[in-house]
Amino acid sequence: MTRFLLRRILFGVLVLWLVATTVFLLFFAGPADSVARRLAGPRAPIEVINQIKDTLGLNRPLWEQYVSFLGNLLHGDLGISFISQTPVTTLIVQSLPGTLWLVAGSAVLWMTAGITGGVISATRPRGLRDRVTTVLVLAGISVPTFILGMLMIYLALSVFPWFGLGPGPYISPLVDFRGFLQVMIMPWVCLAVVQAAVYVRLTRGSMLDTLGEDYIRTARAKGAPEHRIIYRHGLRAALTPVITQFGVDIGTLLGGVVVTESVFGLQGLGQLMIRSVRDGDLPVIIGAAILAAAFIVIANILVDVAYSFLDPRVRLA
Amino acid sequence: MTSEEVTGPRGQVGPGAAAGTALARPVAGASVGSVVPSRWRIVFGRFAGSWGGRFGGLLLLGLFLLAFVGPVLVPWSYLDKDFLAFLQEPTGAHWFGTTQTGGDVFALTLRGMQKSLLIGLLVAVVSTAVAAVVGAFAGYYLGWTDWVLGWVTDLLLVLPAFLVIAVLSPALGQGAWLALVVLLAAFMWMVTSKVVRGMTISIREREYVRAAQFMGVPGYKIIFRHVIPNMASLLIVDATVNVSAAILTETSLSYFGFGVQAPDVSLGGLIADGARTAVYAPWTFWFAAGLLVLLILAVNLIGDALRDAFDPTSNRGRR
Amino acid sequence: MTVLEVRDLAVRFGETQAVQGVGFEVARGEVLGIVGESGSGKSVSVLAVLGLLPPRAVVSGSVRLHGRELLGAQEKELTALRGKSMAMVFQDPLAGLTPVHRVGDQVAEAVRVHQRVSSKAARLRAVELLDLVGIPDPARRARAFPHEFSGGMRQRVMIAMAIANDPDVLICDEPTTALDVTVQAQILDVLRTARRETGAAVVLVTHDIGVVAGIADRVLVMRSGQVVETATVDDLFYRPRSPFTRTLLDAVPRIHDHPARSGYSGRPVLPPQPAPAHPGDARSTPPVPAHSGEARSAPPVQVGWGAVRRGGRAVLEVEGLVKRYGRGGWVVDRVSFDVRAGETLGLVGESGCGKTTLLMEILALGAPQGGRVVVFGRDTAGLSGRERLGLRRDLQVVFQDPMASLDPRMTVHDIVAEPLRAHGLPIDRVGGLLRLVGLEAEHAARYPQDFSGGQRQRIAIARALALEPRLLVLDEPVSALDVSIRAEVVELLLELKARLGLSYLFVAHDLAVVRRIADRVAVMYSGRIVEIGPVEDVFAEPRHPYTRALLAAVPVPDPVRERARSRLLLSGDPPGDHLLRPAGPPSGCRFRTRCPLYPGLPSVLGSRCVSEEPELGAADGAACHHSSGGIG
Repeated sequence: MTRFLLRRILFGVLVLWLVATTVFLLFFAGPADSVARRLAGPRAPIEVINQIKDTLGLNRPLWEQYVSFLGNLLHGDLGISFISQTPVTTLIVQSLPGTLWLVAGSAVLWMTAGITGGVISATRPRGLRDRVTTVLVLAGISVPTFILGMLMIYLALSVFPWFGLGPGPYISPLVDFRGFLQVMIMPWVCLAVVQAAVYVRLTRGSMLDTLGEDYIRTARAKGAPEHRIIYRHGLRAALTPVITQFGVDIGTLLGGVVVTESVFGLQGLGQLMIRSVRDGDLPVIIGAAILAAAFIVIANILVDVAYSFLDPRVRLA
Repeated sequence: MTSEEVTGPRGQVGPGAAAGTALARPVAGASVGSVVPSRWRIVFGRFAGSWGGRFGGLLLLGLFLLAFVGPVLVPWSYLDKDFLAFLQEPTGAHWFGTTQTGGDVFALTLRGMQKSLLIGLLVAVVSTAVAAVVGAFAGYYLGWTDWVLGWVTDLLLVLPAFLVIAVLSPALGQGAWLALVVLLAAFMWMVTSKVVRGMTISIREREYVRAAQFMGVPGYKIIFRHVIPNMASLLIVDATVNVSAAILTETSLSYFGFGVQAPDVSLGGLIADGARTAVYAPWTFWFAAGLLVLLILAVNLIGDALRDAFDPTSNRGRR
Repeated sequence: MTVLEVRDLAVRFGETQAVQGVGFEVARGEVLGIVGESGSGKSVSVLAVLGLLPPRAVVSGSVRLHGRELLGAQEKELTALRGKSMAMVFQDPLAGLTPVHRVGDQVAEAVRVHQRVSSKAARLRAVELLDLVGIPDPARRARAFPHEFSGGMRQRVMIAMAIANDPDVLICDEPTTALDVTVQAQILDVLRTARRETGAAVVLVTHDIGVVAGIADRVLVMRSGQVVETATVDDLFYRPRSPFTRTLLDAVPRIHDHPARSGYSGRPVLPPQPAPAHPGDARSTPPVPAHSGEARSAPPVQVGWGAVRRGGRAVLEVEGLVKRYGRGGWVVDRVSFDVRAGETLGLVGESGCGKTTLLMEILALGAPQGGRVVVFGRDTAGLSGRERLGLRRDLQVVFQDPMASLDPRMTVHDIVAEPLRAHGLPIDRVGGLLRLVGLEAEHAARYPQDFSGGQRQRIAIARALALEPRLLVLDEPVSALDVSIRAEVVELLLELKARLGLSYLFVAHDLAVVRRIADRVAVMYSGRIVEIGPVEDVFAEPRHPYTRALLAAVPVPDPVRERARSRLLLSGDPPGDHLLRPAGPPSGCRFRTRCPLYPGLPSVLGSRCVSEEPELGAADGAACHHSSGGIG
C-alpha cells in the first residue's frame, strides 16, 4: 500500500510539473516582445510593455526564465499579481474558503439526494417513483447552472425577500453565521441540483446492475429480508463507481466551480480565475492553474485508495 | 445456461414456440424469405417508439429549422442595428424585441443557436472519434503505445480545461470558431477514451479477434473492422451526451466573455448581456435562456432514448 | 416421506411458455436428478419452487413443502422458509457470492437471518460449517473474500451456506457445471456429505447425465419445458422408455468402451458431395440421427480413414517449450510433443494446466521464450512477416465458444471470407465451404445470432478451412455445446479430417470426446506433460496417477458401475487459480501435493518425489517415478 501511495504521489508530482511547464510554455514561449505585448494587452503603450519586460525578466534566455519560474514555484512563491500587487498566494488563500465551503456543503446535499433518489428509483424500476425521478433528473441536467442561478436570485429577491437570501461574497461562518448561511444556501442548492441529477442517474444505473447480479439471488435464497438485500448486498457493491466518480468530481469542482461562484458573487477561487483571465493577470492565472491541477491529482490518488478499500478485488499493484 | 433460462428463453423453448424457431433454425432448402431485420432497424424502431425519442427528435428538428430557416423569415440580420428601436419589446417589426444597441433579438438569438448547434455537433463528433481511435489503439496494442497514450490522456485530464480555453480564446481571433471547436474537443475526449480502452481490452480477448489475428489480419484493420464497430452503441450514446456537454461548456465560456468572440454571437453571450436588463426588459433574456434550455433538453431526451434503444436491459447511468 | 411435492407446474414469460405440466416429488434423504439440455426449463422449474423467478414470470400449479402450498404464498412466508427449510446451491459460485463481504460473514449471515444468535456464535458456526464442507484452515479462510478462493472452494462455501440451518430440501442448480472434472468429483462428494448430515431431500439439476448416474436415486428427464420421463436411476439408464432419453443416452460418449462399441456408432453425418446438404441441427427438436432424411439415399461414408494415414512426417514439433508471464511461475514448463501428418493429438488437462497458453504460443508463430516450435518443418523463431503469413495458411484454429468466435457485427459470408480476403484469395469459395460443413450457401447472408450453437461452430470450422490448412488447432471446440450437438460436430470433424487429410491438435478437458476423436493423447498438469501415448493405451492402462484420477473422476452414465467405482479423489485444487498460486510449483514432482500415491510411499521412495522432477521417458510414457508401481 505504501509503495502504491509513493508511486502515485511521485506520478502526481510529475504531472504537476508537466502542468506547470505547459502553462509556462503557453505564456512565456516566444520572443520577449510578443510575450510582453500579449500580457499587456493590445492597446498598451510601449513603456508598459518595457516595464513588463523588465519586471518579469523576459529578456533572459527561456531556460533561465524557466528555472527561476520553477524555483519560485517550489518556494511557494507564485509571484505578485499584476493588478493588485498582492502576492498570489495571499489572493488564493483568501478566496479558497468560499470555494471549499461551497463544494463541501453542496456535496452533502447532492450526495444525500442523489443516492437516495437512485436507490428509490432502482428498487422499483419503471414504477411511478422511477418515472417521476427520471423527469426530475432530466430537468436537472437540462438547465444550465447560470440560468438556474439567476432564476433563484430573481425568486429570492422578488418573491421571497424575507429570507434575506441573496448573492454576495463569502462570509466566514465564524464571523457571522447567519450571514454565512444567507449567502451560501442558494449556491449550495443551485450546484446541488445539477449534481444530484447526475448522481441519481449514476446510482440508479449502478444499483440496477448490482441488483441483477447472481449474488443478490443467493442472498434472497438465503432468506435475507429485502432491506438487507438492498442495502448490505446491493448498495454496498453498487457504491463503488459512485464514490469514485464523487472523488473525481470533487477534485474537478474545487478547481473550477466557476459558474456558480460568479453568478452568486461568492468571490471564491473560480471568480478569482475569471477575473485574472479577463485582466490578463498572469501570475494569478498560473497559480490558479497549478492549484486546480493539484486538486485533481490529489483527488485521483484519494479515489484510488478509496477504491481499494471499497472493492477487495482490486489489489494495489 | 441458467441465467439465460431465467431471463426468458429467446423463443426457442416450448411446444408452441414456432415463431421463435424460425429464426433459430434455418431449414434446409427454405428460401431466405423471412428477412431478419438488421440491428440498426431494430434500434431505430425502439428509438422511434419511445416518447423521449419522438419528443426529443421533433423538438430538436424544430429547433434546427428555427435556427437555420428562421433568419430567412425576417429582414434583419444579426449584425444590423435598428437605430429607431432601442430596447423595444416584441413587435411586428421585431418579433423578439430589440437590445440596448438596437440589435434584433430574434436574429441574434437564432444566430446564437446556429453557433451552439454547430459547435455542439462538431465537438461531439470530433471528440468521440478521437476517443475511439486513441482508446482502441491503446487498449489493443498495450505496451508502449498504451503507456504514451495513457500519459497524454492523464495530462489533459489534469489541465484545467476552462482556464486554458478561457485564456487562449482571445488569441483565436475573431470568427475563428472552428479553432474553438478544436479546443473544446481537445478537452473532451479523455474520459470516453478510457472507457473505450477498457472495452477494447476485453474485446481483444474475444475469440473472434484472436481468430482474425491468427488469420493474418493486421492489427489496425482488426481495430477498425472488429473492435470499434462492436462499440458502436457506446460511441453513439457518448457522442450524444457530448453534444449537450459541449453546448453547455461553450455557452458557459461565452457567458463570461470567452469562447465565441464578437461580432459573432453565442447564446451564452446573449444571456450574459440580457441578465443585466432582464428585470425591465425580459425579452432580452428569456428567449435566449428558454431556447437554450429547450436545446439541451432535446439533446438529453435523444441521448436517453438512444441509450435505451441500443440496450433496453442496460441501465447504465453514466453522465 | 415426501417432503416436496410439485404438481402441474407451469411458467410463462410474456408470450413464451417456458415450463409446462412439470410434476415430481422428493422424499427425505432421497436424491432426485433433473436432467435436460439447455433450454429444457429445468432451472426455471426449480427457481419457481423457491419463488426466485423475476417478477414478470407467471407461475401456476402447485408446490407443496410438507404439505404446505408455496405458490401464491406471501413473500414474508417464503422469505422465512428460504435458507431454512429450503436451500439452494447455484451454478456459478464466483458470481453467486457477494464480492465485497468476507466469506465467513456471508455464511454467518445465513445463520443469523433465521436464528437468534449472537454474531460471535454465528461466526463460530460458520467456521464449523466451512470445516464440514472440507475447507482447510477454516478459521483463517473465513476472513477471506470470495475472489481469493478457487472455484471448487467457492462452491463448498455455497454448500455450507445452504446447509447452515439444516434444510429439509436442498436444491442444486448445475452445481458442478463450471468446475473441472476432478473438482466436480470432490463437490459431488461434499453433496453426499451434506445429504448425510442434514437428511435433506436433494434435487440435483444438471445437463450431465453421467453425474446423475452416480448420485441420484430417481431421475427426471426434461425437454422443451416438459417432463419426458421419470424413473428410478437404474430403470432410466438400463430401460429407458422415452425415445428422447434413449437418444440422450446414446449421445453421451463412453470412454471406457472400445470405440467400435462406443456411443457414437459412426453413423455418417455428411453424405459425399455433391449430394444435398445436411439439415442444420436444431435446438428444440430432438437430436436426429443423421440417417433420417435425405442422407438415406446416399451411400454411407467409410469411417476409419484417419487410421490409415497415421504416422509419417511430423506437421508440428514442440521441443522444450517454455512460457511465463512477467516474473510469475512458468505457465508452460518444458513441453515436448509432436503431431504427425494425418493424426489427431488430443491434449487434455484441467483449468490452469497451461494448455490454452500452450496453444497461443504455438499459434503466435514467434520465437518462444525457451525451446523450439517447428511447424511443417520450419522453425518459428526467425520467421519473416511474409513467411509467417504463408505459414498461417496451413495452420488454422477453431475456438471453444461459438458465440464469441464469430463477430456478431459481420454476416456469415464476411466471416468466412475474412481469411480469404486477408490472403488475397478469391472469395467465391464461401458457398462451397458452408456446404462442406453441412450448412446452406444461402445462410451466408445471415448473422451469427440467427444460428444455434452447433451451427455457429460449423461456421467457425468453415472459416478455419477456408485457406485449406493442413493442421487445425482446436481449443475445446465442443465444450460449450449440448451433448447431443457435440456428437454431431465431433463426427463432422472426423469426416473432414478423413476427407481432407487434415491433422488435428485437439485440446479438451472432456476425456470422452478425446477418446472418440484422438489417435494419441497427451495429459497436461501444471505446465508439463505428465503422460503421452496412443489413446487406447492411455485410457485402458493409465500409468500416471493424475491420469488415473482424471479417468476415475469422469462420471460414467452407468449407475451400477458408478456406484461400484472406488473413489479416487484428489485433494486440493488444480493449480489454476493465479490468485492462490504459491510462489512456485512444489519441488521435485509438482503433482506430489495432490498425488494419491505419494502419502502411501515409504520415505525412501517418497524422497525421490520431493527432490527430483520426473521426466517423460521416450516419446510415449508417463512422467512419474513410480508409474510402474501398483495402483494406490
